[in-house]
Amino acid sequence: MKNINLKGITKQYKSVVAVKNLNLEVKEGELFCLLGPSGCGKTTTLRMIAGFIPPTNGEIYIGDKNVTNLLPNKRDIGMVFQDYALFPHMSVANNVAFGLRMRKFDKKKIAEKVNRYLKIVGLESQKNQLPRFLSGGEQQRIAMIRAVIIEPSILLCDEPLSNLDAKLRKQMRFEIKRIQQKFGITTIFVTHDQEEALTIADRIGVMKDGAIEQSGVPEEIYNSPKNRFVADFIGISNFFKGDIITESNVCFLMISDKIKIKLGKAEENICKNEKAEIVIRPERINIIKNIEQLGSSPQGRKDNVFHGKVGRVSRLGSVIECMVEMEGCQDVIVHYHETNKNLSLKENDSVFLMWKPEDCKIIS
Amino acid sequence: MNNSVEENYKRQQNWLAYRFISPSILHYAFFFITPLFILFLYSFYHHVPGGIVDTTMSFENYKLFFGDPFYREILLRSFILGLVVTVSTLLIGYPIAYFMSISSERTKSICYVLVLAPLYTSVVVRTYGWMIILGRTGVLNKILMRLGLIDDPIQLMYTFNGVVITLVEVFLPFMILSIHSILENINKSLLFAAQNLGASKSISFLLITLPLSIPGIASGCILVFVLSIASFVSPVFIGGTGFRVIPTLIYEKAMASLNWPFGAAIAFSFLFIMVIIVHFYNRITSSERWSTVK
Amino acid sequence: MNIFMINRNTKSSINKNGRQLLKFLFSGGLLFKLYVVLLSIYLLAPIIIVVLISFSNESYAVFPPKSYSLRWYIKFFNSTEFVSAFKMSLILAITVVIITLLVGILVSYALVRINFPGKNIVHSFLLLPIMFPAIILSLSLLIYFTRINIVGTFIGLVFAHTLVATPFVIKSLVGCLSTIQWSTNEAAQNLGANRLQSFFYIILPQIKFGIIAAVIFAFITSFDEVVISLFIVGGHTGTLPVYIYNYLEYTSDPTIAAIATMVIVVIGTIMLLIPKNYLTSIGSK
Repeated sequence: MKNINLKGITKQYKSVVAVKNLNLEVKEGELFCLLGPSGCGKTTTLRMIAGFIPPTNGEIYIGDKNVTNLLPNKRDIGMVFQDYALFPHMSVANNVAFGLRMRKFDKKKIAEKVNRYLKIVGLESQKNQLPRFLSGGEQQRIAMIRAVIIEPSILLCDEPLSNLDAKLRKQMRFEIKRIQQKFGITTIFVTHDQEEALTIADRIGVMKDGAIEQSGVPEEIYNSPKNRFVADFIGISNFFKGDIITESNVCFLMISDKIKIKLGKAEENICKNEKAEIVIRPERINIIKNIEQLGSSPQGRKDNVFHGKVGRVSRLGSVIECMVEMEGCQDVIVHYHETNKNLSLKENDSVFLMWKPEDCKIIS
Repeated sequence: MNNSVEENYKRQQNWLAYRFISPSILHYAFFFITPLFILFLYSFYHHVPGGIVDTTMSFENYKLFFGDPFYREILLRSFILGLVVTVSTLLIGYPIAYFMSISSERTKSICYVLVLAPLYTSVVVRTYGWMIILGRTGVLNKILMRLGLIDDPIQLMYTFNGVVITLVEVFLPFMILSIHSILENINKSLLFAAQNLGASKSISFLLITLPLSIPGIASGCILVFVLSIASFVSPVFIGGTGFRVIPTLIYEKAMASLNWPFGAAIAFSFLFIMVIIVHFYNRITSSERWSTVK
Repeated sequence: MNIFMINRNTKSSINKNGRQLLKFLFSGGLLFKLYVVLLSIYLLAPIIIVVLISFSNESYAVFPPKSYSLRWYIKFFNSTEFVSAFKMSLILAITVVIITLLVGILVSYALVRINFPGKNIVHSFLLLPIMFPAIILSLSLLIYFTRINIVGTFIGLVFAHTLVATPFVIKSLVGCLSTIQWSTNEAAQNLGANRLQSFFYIILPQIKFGIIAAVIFAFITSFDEVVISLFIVGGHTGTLPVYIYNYLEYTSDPTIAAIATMVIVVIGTIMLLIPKNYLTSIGSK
């Protein structure tokens, strides 16, 4: 297995810069997700690695080899396409065998290997079937196996699950992860679905307008977004903007005279700034109906406590989403699990919101 | 500087494209454009009977063609023939196209086979068949007399009507397919909506299907018109030597009298008028009035 | 209310019996089906009659024949002129098919895959020959061929026939190349195939039907071509349609019917191979 190294990759089309001076290193055996909205350059980057688009500037290394000027068929890369690109006139077995045929393997060995790999995805019974008679999920698996059977140095996936329905997508995610881990192939997986990325990636690179805004492990991306774009793109966010004030060695984000949000100790150096924006994840906010549950008085507590009025309540599966209008402030989205039976909230209920200062993440 | 890689790639691709199309382009240049150009020049030359053509240029051929009522009559006959054939194919063909669009898949397939059947044979073969049918002692007359529908045989060979009958048979498939392809694309739910709002079947046909099928009618008409005024074989065999239209006239002048210059002038005059007709036709049919059809 | 009602005052030479018959036909719900039947007879009549006459035993073309025989087929096969004209048409058509296919694939690939400047103009230009009346092309080629001395030659016929066949071939190939999933081409290259291998193993099989349609159109266009060939075969017999044409000018004995029937068989069997979708695309210019 090899690692992937992109150095200063740029792609410019006449007046549009699709990819701006991208530097990226993907470790051996890693599943790296390139995540971003449409038009952010993630697919362009992938296709440059594959060799279908020549970069305007920069170099691409697979392992120690500079592949920037190599033709696509000489790069030893496996690729899974968004529309699967299965050869419609060939049977499943012949599709999967194609790469091996091009590498001039022995016929018997090819047949044996094809059977083995089809077993891995449970499709050996379909080996003589034509692709168009297979379901979306089955086609996806064949596309994957076809790419993997040639034992390439790296694997590239271009939004391979976009054409599947929601439930199948969730199943197939794990299938892809399983195959990737089984063979330990260094993989770059392009997607616009942040839930997908968070679920299967070893590391994520969030892209916007041709550049990587932040890259890191999923927890890092989720809990410590570097800027507003990343925070907004991943998961749901509550943003607060305001002035920084200091009171008795504690930093506060002041939104108005009445609302002051206590910030955690880790963000101490932010006290030097004048203004800031923070983000809080919905599941970090607790909702309490009765103030007595708090125990001591609000002012004395270490946490942030605010009063609010419930707006709309909606159910997202097992999580309840609640929009609360914070008194004197903006609307805030709160998530809590439905097993929390003490809470049966209705519109216009009066509640208290509570969260720890450490859960406030500074994004600027 | 940043653009150079992209530009190089594009340039490479473009040159590949030019290499790929060059055999065809050269072929057309040498055997399509050049001959037409020479023909154009010839239309200004002067015909010398039995000798080499006189290459002094003048408009005399054109003056002769447009000036002499004999030739103008032939021109007129050609266009009237085109018009009659077009209208006939439209009237006869539309019901069939409509029928095909409302019938089941099976019936539709059978109709396709039947409609396309004439295209399975060469024009000469079909024309020969019509010669047998249309003669005084031909099939048609025999049948009509035996059924008691007529008392004397109808003269159809060597007449305008005979040529029309033949040409309509030849070009009906084109009109039918043209209309049918548009009818197939009309959203059936429009008709349901109309009937739901109270329109009868006839009304919804007249007010919805018919207007929406106009693009098909328009393209079918111009197609059949252009093909029928240019047709050669039927006028020759069904129309006979006395029946002159432009194509047969050109043949006569060029092959029989070897008067290439005059033949060339006729050809280009004909082409010129055709282009004008098609141009104005396109302008009328694509004007805003018809654009409710989408 | 029936929109196909006949106008009673239509002037015609049809007598009383005729009018009553027509009235009967146009009332009632069987209208459409009957119409289709009549139309089919109209469209197929010439062909059927020709085929039947080819088996007639009479020495002139009379229908219906009083007795049947194969004498006209025998006469055809014994006539060296006819047979050589038939052979010539066949060889010519095959040559035309091969040339237009090779050239056509190159052109179509460029038109579909590469966005070169002038692409649309070139595309329209290449479809131009079918918009010209054959008679005009014929005269222009006659003059041109005479000047460069290839009147009456095989090569002249090839150049002329490929000119009128190419638009159909290009239309067909461009049509089907446009419907291919091009990601399969990329997938093939990704799996190790070079451009040529990808073309033969992946692209070509996907355009199988387009190629077949193109072959059929090119073949029929050439085999059937009469007007241009008439002008440029010079004094020679040339192609089969020309021979039939010349023969018909003097006689109309059933030999022609026999030949015509064979032409029908040749073209008919080939035509039966086209899926109907491609035929309808030809109907729209």
